[in-house]
Amino acid sequence: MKTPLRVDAERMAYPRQIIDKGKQIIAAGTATDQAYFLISGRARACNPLIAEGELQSGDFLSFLSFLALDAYDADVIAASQAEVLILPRGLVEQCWQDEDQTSWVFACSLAVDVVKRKLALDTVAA
Amino acid sequence: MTKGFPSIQMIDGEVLFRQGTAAEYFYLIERGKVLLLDQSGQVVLRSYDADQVFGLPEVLAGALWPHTAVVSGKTEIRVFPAKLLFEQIDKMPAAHQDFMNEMAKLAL
Repeated sequence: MKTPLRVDAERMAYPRQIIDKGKQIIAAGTATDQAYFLISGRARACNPLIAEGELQSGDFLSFLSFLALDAYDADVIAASQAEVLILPRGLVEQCWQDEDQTSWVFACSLAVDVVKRKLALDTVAA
Repeated sequence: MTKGFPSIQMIDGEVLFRQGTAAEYFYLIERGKVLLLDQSGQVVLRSYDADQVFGLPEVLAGALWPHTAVVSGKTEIRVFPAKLLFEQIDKMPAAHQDFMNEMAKLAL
């Protein structure tokens, strides 16, 4: 899912990591106090709560988890060599609200709702 | 955004809305808890606590409530009309509007 947040040159000044294919970018349980933006390469989440398919350059990784949860729910693995920008939550929130304040509130509420419904379905299925 | 919109006080077991009725409002729980029940009314499918907003996906989709909602304990809920949501979304940049709609589809 494409997020509306633009990652411009200023934000590119934050720390980057180069991750080899097959290596972990995000470990399940990592606090969502940082967002991971895929500058280049491909990645995939392993058994995520909400399937987002293959993540490509320009995507935030596990963004629904970032919005809704205190910790990432699944490992995210590099499907090719990947360059990842790591942004603090406060910056993402501020940049988003600079573009539209209400949108941030609604996005977080919707993300929580998506996760709650998914968890409820999983519980019923189990 | 909450100013000027009514807050209702409800008691344990009161029904907020019934399954099959039109989703014309969304809600912010200010105190207490709301439970969504299955058709039998016996099983809690999910719950929402204080400071949580719910009902956005159904309102965005113009849907009927798929479940009945009852409150648990003394509960205070701020009620917002669908019109407010659509007005707010209309004001958003296009990319944000698209994102909201994608998220709502995921929830339903």
